[in-house]
Amino acid sequence: MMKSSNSKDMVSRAAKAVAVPLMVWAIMQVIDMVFAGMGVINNSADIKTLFRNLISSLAFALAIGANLNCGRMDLSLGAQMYAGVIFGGNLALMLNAGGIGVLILSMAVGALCGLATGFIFINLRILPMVLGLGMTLVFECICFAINNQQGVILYGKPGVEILSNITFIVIVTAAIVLFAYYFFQLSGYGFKYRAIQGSQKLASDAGINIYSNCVICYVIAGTLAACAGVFITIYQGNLTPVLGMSSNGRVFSNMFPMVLGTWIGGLCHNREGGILMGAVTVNIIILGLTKLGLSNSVQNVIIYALFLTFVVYNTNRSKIDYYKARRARVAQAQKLMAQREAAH
Amino acid sequence: MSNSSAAAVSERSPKLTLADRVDMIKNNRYFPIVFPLAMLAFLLLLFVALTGGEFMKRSVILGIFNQSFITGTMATAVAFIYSTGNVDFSVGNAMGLACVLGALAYQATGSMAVMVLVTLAGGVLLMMFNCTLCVTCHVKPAMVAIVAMSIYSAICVVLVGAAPIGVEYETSKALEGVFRYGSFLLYFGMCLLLYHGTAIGRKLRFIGGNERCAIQTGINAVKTQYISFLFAGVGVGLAGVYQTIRTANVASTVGTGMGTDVMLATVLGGMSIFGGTKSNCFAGLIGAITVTILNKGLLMIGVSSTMIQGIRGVVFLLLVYLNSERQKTLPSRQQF
Amino acid sequence: MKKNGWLRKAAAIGMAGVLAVGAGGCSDSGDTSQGGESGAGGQEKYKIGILEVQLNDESTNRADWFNNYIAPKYNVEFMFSEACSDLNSCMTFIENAADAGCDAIINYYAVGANTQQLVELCAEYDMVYTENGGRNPANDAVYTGNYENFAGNFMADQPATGKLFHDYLSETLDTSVEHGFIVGTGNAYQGNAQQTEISANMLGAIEELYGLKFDSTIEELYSSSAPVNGTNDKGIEVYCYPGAPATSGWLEGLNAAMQTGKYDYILMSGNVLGNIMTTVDELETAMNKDFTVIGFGSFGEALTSAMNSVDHFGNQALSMSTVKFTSIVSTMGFSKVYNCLTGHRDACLEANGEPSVLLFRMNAVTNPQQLEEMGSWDKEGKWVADYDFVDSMLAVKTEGLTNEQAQETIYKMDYDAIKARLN
Repeated sequence: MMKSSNSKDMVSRAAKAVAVPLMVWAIMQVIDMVFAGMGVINNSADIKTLFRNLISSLAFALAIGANLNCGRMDLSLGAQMYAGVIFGGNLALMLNAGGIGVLILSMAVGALCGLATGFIFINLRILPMVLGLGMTLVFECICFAINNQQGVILYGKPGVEILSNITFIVIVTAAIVLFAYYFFQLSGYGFKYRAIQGSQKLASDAGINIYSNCVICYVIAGTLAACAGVFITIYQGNLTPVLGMSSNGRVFSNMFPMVLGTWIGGLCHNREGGILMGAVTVNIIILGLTKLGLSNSVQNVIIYALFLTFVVYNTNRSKIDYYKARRARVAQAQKLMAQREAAH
Repeated sequence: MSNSSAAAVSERSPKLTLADRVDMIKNNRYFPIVFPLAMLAFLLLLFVALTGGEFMKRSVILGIFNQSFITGTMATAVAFIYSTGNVDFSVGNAMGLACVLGALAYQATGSMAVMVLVTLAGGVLLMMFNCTLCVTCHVKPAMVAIVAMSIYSAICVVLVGAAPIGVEYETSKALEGVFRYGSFLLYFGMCLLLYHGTAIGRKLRFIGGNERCAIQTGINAVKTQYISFLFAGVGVGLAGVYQTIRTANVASTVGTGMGTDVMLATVLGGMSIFGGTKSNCFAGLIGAITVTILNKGLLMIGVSSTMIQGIRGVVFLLLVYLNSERQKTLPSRQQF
Repeated sequence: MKKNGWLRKAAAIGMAGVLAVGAGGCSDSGDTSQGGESGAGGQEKYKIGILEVQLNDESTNRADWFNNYIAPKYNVEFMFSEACSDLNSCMTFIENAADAGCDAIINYYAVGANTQQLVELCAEYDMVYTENGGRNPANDAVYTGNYENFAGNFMADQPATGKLFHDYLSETLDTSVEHGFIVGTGNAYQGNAQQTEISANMLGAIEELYGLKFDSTIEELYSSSAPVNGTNDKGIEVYCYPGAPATSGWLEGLNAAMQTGKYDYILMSGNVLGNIMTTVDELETAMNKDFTVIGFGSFGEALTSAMNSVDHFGNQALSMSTVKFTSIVSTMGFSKVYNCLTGHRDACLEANGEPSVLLFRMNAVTNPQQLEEMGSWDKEGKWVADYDFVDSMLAVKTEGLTNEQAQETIYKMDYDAIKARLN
């Protein structure tokens, strides 16, 4: 009896999580069919594009969330991504380590960048957003200085094709979600992490080492950002370094899947799964809009207008629910009064 | 009191370590103001020494002011927003869109006066829109900033389209003189007065320090925050006018990245981007001048342009660390 | 314990410092020159500011040529900017360069209609100014206004560049088969001269070869900031797709257009080969359709990879591209400012007394062997613009040099001439 109720609950939660991207896909499919004469996903190249963009959005959104949930907004994540992929990628290419080598070494360098940022943070204790600005300047400068300012070029390099292989992408996506779920929800680290999320002071008083927990957060964020960067690079063919804090754009553009995912996570009681669905949803919207042949600026206006609408709704959801409940109460009272009057 | 008892008291009293003394200095109410100024003076003297006095040339000093004008004005403006704890880094793109609107108005009317007025109005309206989202719709400021940045820059590209929009060069040059200096001094003076000499500034700092407490003492937080965005909007519009007349042209990328430059300048100037009671409205200007001095000085002593950004990052972290109060636990703030 | 804390804080600051200094240690592209005293020969020393628009392999190569080849011989010092992305940053660099003692500015940023402003700014600081780009009619006042510090412009012979694409299409396109074309118009809609000319020539070639008439003018097609169909009386599918890969969604949009199945020729006016080849390759496999790619390029890994790769059907992945020799372009800018600085401004003027626009011609490259050969040139020890060539462009070395002679010298540097010189 208990088991069946649990499995029903699980199915209901999973259905809620999948419902959002499915609904969005259905809407975009209709729009694309009407205005462009083709669907959102038409062939294997579309699936590849969707999956590749999905994994980069997902990894980046999880990376942002790792620190953001504890009240730390790390603006240097974009620069860490550049540093991880440019250093790690070039190193792997030099060692002829192939696509898996590129991924592993990039993530390793990303982890080191995260470690450096985390170490500096716990020691200097500057506001995370401010530290992020400083670290962005430093990391961007480093990326520029290596490989003759060319960044990393993956197009045409032997052995990197595996990074475009859908099966491989699905495996990495699953591994990331499972790892994040285990790490943040099931492990001892996750237990402490959630305690810190509740109250840093209380967690510290309870004996949790908030400093090591924080550094680990930064390391995970750097690793995930670099992972995202590898799939961005394989799609674009190359990754050229940027200056002037332009790398922050990566953080901002991945906020939508993160925020939407957190909301879906609330529906299905699984934050990581929610972020996966959030990333799927946003990428379906993007893929659907590109089929319409709109200019990139118009696409951006549409995407961010949707984002804004969602955020305004999400922030004021409780008020809407409150007004709905009040109206229902008033209606019920009026009905009751009418019944009483009728009875008299 | 006898000498022996005084000595006994002195022995019993705790001895201050160097770290305690440093903390005492840093906790002094004037430290956040004096320190950035001292650093600015230090950098100035350092580069004067390293360039053999060349750094004190009139053209260099004038160049420093010219280059820090726009960021300085913006940073002065956003001090009003930052004070209340609202981190809005979309101000650069808001300025960009205001510039585009002003330039389009110029194109339509051929009047520089209209351009100035429309840019100012554009700045105010866009900041009021941001404020409505933050204050009335209760969306977290960082989220508003991210959305606004993207939407404003996309609108700029759509509106500007092909080539950048040009405005009259001769008039622009003329406006760069008395108009620019006069309007900046007027605005800066007004900000100083409002921020440090009236109840508005006090309320803003109070809200930034503890919004709930401020509301319970009878402060209308919504109204006060609207006022803060209004003054910020005037500054954003004014910076937009300076931007347009400096280059006599408005491209679709105008203002991109300036939001983070303004944050950087504000923090370097000794103010927290999350506001609070120690906020002031001149930190941004000091920070903007410090960044310009650093850039110019490093270039003049022959440091490669690639290296300058990295050095700027390290100096920034160092100065912020020296200027900030070290918290007992890790600093954090819920943004979303 | 306390000591430990201080040590860790110092280590944290030190780490940030080491990261940045480490970066500088790796970087050598932006360093100012090592001085040119040895080869000075009593010449006055000049300092020249190079205003860069992008920092990439080309700018690195340029810095190498200026710093290590030109600086010692001609007793000049160079100072390089960060990547200037707008007019404001250009003005800031010019002001900083003046304060750092620069005597001239070579500007690689396309300023459009704002040349006068930069010329006047340089005049304020008594600096000579030249820019990479064509003569914009909006800037006529600068050419006729007798600005003594303005040395004119230098640029690619854009019609000639466009013609390379036109000629290649004329030679290779089989019009008996109906093809569909995506023309990547890049930033032509923002007035980029090179991309305008290439787009116009590509569209012109399609018009001529099929004998068709577009419903809109060619200018309307390439200057659209939104994707537009080049509808025509012969029903040939032509899709003009503007923008650049840096914009989010650009690559996805190209992908979507290719998936319609209407197009098999991908013609790119911008330097986007490094970005689009993966997409093309994947779509060839997914759609089992052969795409022919032709696009503007520059020496570097991206072009080499594209030219050397074989597509799904066993063809060369990139059919044709164009390349230029950085040292020749740099010589044009350098000679212009150096002639002015040494009192030979007349060598930079047209016969009518207006500052001239020096032009160079790009080279087409159609196979990996040709690319490999040309790619091995223009490097340290094998500079295409060697001292003889540079001397022939400087009035102090070539007595009575005129602008026409300088232009002729540049035009003579074609593929065969360079090959003969270097071999």
